[in-house]
Amino acid sequence: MRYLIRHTTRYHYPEAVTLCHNRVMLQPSERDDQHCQGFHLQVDPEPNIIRSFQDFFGNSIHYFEIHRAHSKLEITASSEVIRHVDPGYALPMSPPWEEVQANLSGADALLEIRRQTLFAMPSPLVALHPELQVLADRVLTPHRPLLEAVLDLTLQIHQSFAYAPGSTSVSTPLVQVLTQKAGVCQDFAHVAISVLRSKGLAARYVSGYLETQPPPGQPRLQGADASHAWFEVLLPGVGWIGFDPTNATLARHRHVILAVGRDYADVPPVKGVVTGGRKHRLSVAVDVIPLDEAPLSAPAEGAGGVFLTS
Amino acid sequence: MTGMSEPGSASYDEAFAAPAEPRGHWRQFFDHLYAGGPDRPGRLWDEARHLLRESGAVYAVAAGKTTQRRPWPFDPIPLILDGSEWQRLEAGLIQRHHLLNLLLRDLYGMQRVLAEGILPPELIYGSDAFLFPLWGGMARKVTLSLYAADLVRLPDGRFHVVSDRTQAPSGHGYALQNRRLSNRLYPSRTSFGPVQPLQPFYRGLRNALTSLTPQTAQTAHIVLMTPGPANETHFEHTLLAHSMGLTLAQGNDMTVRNGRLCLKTLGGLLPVDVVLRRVDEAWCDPLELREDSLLGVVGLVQVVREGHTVMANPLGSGILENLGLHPFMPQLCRFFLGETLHLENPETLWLGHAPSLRRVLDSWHDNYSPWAILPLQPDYSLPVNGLAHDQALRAHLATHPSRYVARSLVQPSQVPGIDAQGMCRRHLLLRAFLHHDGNNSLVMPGGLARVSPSAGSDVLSSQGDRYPFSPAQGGSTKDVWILGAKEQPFSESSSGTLTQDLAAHAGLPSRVAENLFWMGRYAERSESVIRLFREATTQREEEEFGLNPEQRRYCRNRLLTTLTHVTGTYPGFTGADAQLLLTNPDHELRSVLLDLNRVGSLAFSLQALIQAGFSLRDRLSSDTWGILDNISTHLGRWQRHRTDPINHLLWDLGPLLQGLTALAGLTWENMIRDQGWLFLDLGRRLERAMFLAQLLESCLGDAAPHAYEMAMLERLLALNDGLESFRLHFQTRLEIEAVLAKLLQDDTDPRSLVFQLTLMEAHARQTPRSPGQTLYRTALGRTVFESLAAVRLADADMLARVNPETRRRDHLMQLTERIRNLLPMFSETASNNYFRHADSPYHLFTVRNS
Repeated sequence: MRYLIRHTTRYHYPEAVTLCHNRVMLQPSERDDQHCQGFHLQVDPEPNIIRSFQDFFGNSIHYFEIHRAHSKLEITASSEVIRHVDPGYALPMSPPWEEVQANLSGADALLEIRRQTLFAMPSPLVALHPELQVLADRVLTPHRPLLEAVLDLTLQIHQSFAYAPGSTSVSTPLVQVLTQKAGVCQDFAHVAISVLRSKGLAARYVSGYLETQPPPGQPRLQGADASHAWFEVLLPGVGWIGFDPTNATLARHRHVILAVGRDYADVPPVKGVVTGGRKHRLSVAVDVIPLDEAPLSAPAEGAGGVFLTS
Repeated sequence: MTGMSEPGSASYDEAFAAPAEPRGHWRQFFDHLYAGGPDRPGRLWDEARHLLRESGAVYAVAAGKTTQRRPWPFDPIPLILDGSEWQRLEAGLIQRHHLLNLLLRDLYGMQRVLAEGILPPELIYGSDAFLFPLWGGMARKVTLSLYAADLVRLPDGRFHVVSDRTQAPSGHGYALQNRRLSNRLYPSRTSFGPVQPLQPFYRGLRNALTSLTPQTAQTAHIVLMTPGPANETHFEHTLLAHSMGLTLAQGNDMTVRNGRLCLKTLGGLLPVDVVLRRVDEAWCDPLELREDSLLGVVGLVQVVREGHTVMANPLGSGILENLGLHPFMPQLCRFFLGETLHLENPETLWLGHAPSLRRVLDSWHDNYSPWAILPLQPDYSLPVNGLAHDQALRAHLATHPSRYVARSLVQPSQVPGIDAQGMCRRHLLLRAFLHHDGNNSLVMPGGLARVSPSAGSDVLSSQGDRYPFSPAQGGSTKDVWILGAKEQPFSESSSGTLTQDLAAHAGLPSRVAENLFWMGRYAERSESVIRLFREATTQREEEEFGLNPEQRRYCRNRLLTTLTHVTGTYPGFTGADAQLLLTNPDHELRSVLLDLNRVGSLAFSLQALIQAGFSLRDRLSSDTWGILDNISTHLGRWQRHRTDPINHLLWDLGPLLQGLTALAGLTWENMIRDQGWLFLDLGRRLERAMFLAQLLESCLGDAAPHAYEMAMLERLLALNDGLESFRLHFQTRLEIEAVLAKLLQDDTDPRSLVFQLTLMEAHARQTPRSPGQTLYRTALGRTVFESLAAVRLADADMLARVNPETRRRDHLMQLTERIRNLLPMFSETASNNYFRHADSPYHLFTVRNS
């Protein structure tokens, strides 16, 4: 699948801002299953400097500064991305999860794998919670094949947590999400990651987009999409495999990857510190436009092909 | 004397080979000590206390929400080490630093130690000290410029490292302070053995820092980045900045522009080449590190990526302090250097390694454990003391083994010392220092010795402490003498001080200018309030005018009303119940003088003065600091006697006023006339001008019967130190016109209004402004010029004239009101133009994945 993506972030300041330093992670990843054919970052007002670099996790980051007074900041990332994923892709066979866990932590683990144990450890936003023990034990039963268990975990989270925008914020601790049994995609990804890490498995956070489809017979609305998040689990020898608990599905051709990290804190799409001004308003618009004809029949997971991005 | 070592003690004794048998390198010192007679130790103790007080050396301890400053603890008996032994230790320190430097580059680059299985990944990735944003961003040749190691000497006589200090090593300044103290305590030291000097180390440190930049040592701009006056070691930051000629700057004194770090100075942004960092790395950049930090500079991590500014030490170097590295040091040394590790740690096991955990748990029996359990980071707390070995600890370790190490119990060596009771014995922890310029390492021939609070049991209880024997825990410190003349690469300068003029070319940070401005204002305001209070409450001999009690009361009431206006402690003596308060003013006066929490009170102003002074410490001479310290002591004493009768309080005002006038004298006589002095004096002049305008308005604005006014005039002149000179000049009766002319318009009287305004105009002319702008085009210039013109053009006869209907001096009132409106505008303009650093940055809403 080929997509044109436009992601616009606008800040309005009632009082002029005199200085800002920003760091954005808006350039889609380059990886085996995805190719970013073109990328353009437009910042208004024109930044005094703009730099790009790769972080520890292989993501692209852009840093910029604006030194002159401005009352509006608009950041537009446009990209063209090809997803090399077969729409009919199904989960491969996998060994029991205990075996995978042992391979990760064993003293003779492969060099490349050894570094990935990073994703089996707690991280700033994903601590290990005793509250998740029950769920972990329920899905990761003895000798169950890893991917079967992770798919079950994905479905269980979808079932037992309510999708409720506004019920959490960037700073809501995971434990509160667990108590109120509600949240948004970021929270669900964190829950899944915490469960997998509690059993010594490597799981990471994915920030990206999901192509949504308008209800049948209606036109695509501009800016109606949003940035999305899910998680990936590591199956050594095969790679990272994505699951989307918000939509109870595998991450496949409609999921476009921006960045991966231990949790949200490693990959916020837009971050900034400003001087001057006091309050500000934020608005975001995302469009994920398929450039090719959509494949005729999508497999029937998810609720009739209507995806939640948030 | 009897031997200093305790029978049966397992500790190594630094000073004695056997009871009553000093080791060779201590012998001359003991001869010297006991040649001074039996009371020599006691005298040394007293002398040291006196010198400490004079030096103003302090450290700060957090006490609830506030910070307490305590005198720096110093034990006058030095630690003496033999030169040849020290050479071996030096080699060990240099090797260890070299190894850590290579490890740092690897961890933030290729991470071969992880890929090749030398280190378990948990130790690095699981640590908060590994800063992911810094990965790959460090210049390839990143250098650990500073290294310190905390050493203990075990019973086998060998030194071992209990902790490596790499993140922002502290203690350099206190080591220098201790050396200064012992130089004064033992002026004839050279006669009992050559002690290696410290100066080359500090001079070398500055050179090492600059050698990492393309700049030459003379042009490189080096900043010492401090968390500010509340930090526990702020004294040392000011001392180091002062003695090495560095600009002392807090995070908000700096800004990042185009990926370069700049200091915000009065003259604009000045690029910084090197940062001697004393802010913990996690707090250095709210954009990429801890978001809640107010101590950092936004964008500092990007500055590191760009590679223009050298950080000493580099951001990210804190990971090397990880105690979990200790068990792996021998392997790391072989891996990186192909050598055996010279300077080892006490035996340490990482419990994330299952056999190690088993070994430790198996060793627990019969209420004894040979291990101390230590957490890898402060937030990994243990359910019980790490020396216990019970079920709770066993269970906890089984759940979180990788968070802890077990270290074999260490028995530190003992040293002789002196405390208030006389000679004593203490356990020793020695901090050694090293700096590195990219090619060469230099170890300080000395260090900071820390000793235990008491001789005995605390050795065991401090095993669980990451930083035992710290001053905050009651430990003391010592100077460290390395004997033996070492050949110096360059000759030692004869003067004992380091060069101090290197910072002269650097701009004045805006925050410093602001602090100086307010220091001037608060000093002057405090002085005015004291003078006013003294004048209002003193019973003066009134031979000349023969005042009756009513006239006396009239004068006092006017002055008290002025006091309320000047201090801004409204309603005070101007409110609805003013008459009542004036009849019985003691309660209100006590509050205006003593109440620290009342904004505008004398105590408040003095406190603000002291605080401003403290944050300016690196810029004030030690004499100036001594005066501020005295003022602080008086204020403290005063606070303790707040219920004394009001005239007792008056007695205390004398020394306070003397302190304040001495401060004024010193700043006038001894301070270099740089931008800093300009702002200090601007503050003082502004405050004095405002005081005068207020005083004249409150005391002479409303006319009164002649006898009353004459009494008032006398008081006004006395308040301004002008009574005697007035009599000398005029030798006549007091005339209101003449007094007004003198207080307002006499160019030769340093307390007149015109004198203040003239100086303010001259100062304003020298403050930085945009190129091509003339003084009278700036708001600052216009306000001061307008005030000056109004005062100069005023006609004293007109000012003295009373409006027969209102019984007021309308012209005088108009003039003083105008001045009182213009001068605050001057202050505000100065703030807006020069002190706009306080605009604190804040985070934008982040967009979440939702």
